[in-house]
Amino acid sequence: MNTLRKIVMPVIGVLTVLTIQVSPAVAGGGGRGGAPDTGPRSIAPYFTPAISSPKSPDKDGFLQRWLLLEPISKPNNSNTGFTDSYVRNAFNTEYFPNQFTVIPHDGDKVTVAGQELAWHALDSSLFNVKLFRFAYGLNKTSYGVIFWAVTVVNSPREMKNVRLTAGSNAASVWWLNGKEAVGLFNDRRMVMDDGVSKRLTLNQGRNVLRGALINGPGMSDFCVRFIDENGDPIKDLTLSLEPAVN
Amino acid sequence: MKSRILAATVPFLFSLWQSNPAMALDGEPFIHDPSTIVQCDGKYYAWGTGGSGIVSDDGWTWRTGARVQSGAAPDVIHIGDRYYMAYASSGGGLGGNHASTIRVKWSKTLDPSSPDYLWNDDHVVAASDGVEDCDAIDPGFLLDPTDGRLWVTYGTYFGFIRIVELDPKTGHHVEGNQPVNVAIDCEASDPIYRDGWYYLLGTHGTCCDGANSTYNIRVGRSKNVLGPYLDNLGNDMLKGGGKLVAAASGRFVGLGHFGLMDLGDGVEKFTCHYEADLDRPGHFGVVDILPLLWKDGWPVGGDNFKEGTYEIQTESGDFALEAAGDNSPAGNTGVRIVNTMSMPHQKWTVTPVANAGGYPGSPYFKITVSGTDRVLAATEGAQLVAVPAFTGAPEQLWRIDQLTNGSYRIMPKAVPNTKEPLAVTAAGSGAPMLAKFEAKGEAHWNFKTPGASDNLKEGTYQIQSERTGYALELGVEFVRMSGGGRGGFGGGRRGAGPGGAAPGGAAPGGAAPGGGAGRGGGGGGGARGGGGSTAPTPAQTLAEVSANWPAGNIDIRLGDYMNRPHQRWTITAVGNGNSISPAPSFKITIAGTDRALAATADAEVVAVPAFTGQPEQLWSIDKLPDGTYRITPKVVPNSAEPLALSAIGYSTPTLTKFDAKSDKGHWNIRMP
Repeated sequence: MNTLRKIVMPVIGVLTVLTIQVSPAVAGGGGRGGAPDTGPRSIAPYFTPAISSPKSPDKDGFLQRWLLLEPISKPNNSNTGFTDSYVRNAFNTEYFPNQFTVIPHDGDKVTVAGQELAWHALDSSLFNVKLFRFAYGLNKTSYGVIFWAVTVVNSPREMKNVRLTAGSNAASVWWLNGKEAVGLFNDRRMVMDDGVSKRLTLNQGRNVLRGALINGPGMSDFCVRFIDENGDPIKDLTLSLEPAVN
Repeated sequence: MKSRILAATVPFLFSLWQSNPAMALDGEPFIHDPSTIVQCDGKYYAWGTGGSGIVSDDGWTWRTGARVQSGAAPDVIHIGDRYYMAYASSGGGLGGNHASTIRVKWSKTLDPSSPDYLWNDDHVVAASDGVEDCDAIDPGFLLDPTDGRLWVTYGTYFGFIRIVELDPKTGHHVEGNQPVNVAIDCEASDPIYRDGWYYLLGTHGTCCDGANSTYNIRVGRSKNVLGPYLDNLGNDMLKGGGKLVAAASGRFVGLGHFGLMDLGDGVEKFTCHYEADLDRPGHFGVVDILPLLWKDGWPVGGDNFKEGTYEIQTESGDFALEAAGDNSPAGNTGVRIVNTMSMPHQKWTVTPVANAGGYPGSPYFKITVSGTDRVLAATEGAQLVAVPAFTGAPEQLWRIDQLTNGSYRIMPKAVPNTKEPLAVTAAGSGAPMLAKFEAKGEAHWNFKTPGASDNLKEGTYQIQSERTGYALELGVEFVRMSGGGRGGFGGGRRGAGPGGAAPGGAAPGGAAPGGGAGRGGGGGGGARGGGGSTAPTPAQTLAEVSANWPAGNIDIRLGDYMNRPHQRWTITAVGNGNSISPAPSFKITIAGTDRALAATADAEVVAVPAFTGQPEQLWSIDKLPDGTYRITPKVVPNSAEPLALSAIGYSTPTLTKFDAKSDKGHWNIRMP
């Protein structure tokens, strides 16, 4: 919209997740005002480093501990072409060895198209995992990207007839223990419980949940949880980034 | 004018829809992101992105209006002697920019020919810095009727929708008031208040992509203006929740940008734009005004009245309007209210009248005794007669407004020697009269198609979840349409942004995505029509999309309501019912194919390649008290328990035990 004026606001606030600084006369608006974004970046407060003790889902059952791979560049200037076949083809492309089986450790690195990318073991501060903030905070490409995410879900018992739910911005596919469970295609916004798997069984002990997400422009993020046959969130799970001992 | 609802009862209004290609507003209603339409000195005004304006004398026929110095997606509200306009200065991801301001200015009038027409005190009330989780565009005003406080919401898909308080006397930000996050993943937000609830309307889906846009209006509600706004599933709009209000319909694609028009007397309408009107392609935004209905405390988008032949019944359905006598004399004849009997002189053909003006959202109609020239007319003395022939006189022109409960108000354009607007009113059996409209049943009417029954008829429909508003569809590749509307802003998501290397173009490892129909980030604002073909865009055909469908079973899912071939289901009676429904069973196949909906052994649903008559392919379809339908397979393999088609989450169908108290097993069956 090049006919529109760009208004540059004075520096009046600091970015936070939920608290907005305001001036006496103007609501919202941090300080950068469209000027080149040269300030220091951080993944805080959206993420904190994962620690060794297991982490439970949040009060609504959302899974907040993940191993996240720095974004793979996949240029797309629109999300309207994320059809089933395009997305599956994009995810089935081998970017790094064992991409459908590896359980990486924090700091592990892979090389994709000549670019070294690191895995980060993180806890999301929010119910949703804000991949845009992950990439942006690490000074990585944030638009036109593919993200990979892995977590280990430890179940205290075998749970039959559970379902995996996912919402993502934009398209994503989720695999539980190596089998595709949920696929979200086309120009998708992150809506909790947008896609729901068929009935699944969570094994007693370790279950590996893996996801891949593609986005062009926009704020990449996802939210994932398990629900029971009644649709209620399953919360007596733990998340670890190491194989659990059965 | 577009589709309407065929109804015998009010609940029926919400469940079985019929839509046909028709026009939205007449004239040149071509702006994108319309402001709420506001009346000033007898005229109606709206502005869109880029400052383009449209104006109408009657709310039906629109012409180009005055431009204003404005950015994106303005909103207008009338408070006291001022018309406030809020707009966004930039942002929206255009040109890679999420830094923007919401600005407010005011004028004493909206009439540019008035000496009082002057936009004053253009000032900033909210902002986003381009990095934070907000993009300050798309403002929407709310003047809280309970306490007179003024609020504005703003934001888009880049982070949060926020609400902040303004001073209704000045339009300035209230000092010290901090914005509050109320939603994510929507845009074009607009808060309204009704009966103790605050409602936050927002537009979900893909903008600016012509016939492939998936824009749809959704809502959450709260007892507090600051939220939390929850949808019908109890999900917070801060987690993406939202109950469907209105989506694509018939030839209209990508419905978004809600604005309330409360016309009083139980008539509420809303303004919106379509990303594409397939009958008027080449325009970036076609504005419409539609009825707003309310069901169980939730807003539901209605449809403007459609021409046809109807029985005009009282709200109870017991009585109908009829022309007196089967063999009418040459002169005027009486009109009376009698028991509904579906007699010929109880059938009325309702036809829009060209060049006779209209009212917000619709033209005037003539109401003719079916098969004759005899038309309904108002008389001096506020009575009703059927005159021998239509002359175009104002007392023969009728305004038909859908009320918030789904029934209709019928008013003549004029009553001779009476200035007061009057409505057709039934006072029990006998002669109808014209009286001042009161929001009670005597002036509420339903238009029922002769011979229509509550039982589902065979036909081709879309099956829409009452719970989520999404349509039952084959899980197949979405195939883009060409034409339909002019894209804008880049199609789908607005532009590139901070930190984003988004060069676009072909991608390694696979075919590049289809790409938007738009101009790419950084395109010009506003956009009055023009560009592209003006020939009507044909509907997408089965042949255009089905060539690559898998040969075997195909999963079923719920998708944006788009009226596409993989969402059209032909319902055909084939046998007896099941254990919980003795009515005939149906097969449900994708229209034009033999692919049949079937229950699976794991209590899910698929489309099998061909109907074989197996019991898991037979379905009972039962009407529920709220007018929606329960859809149950005759048999679920390996299950002794009767199960029903259900929506879980937002986009997933499955089979679960039916619970009458939950809307997950409730389905609307709509004509495509």
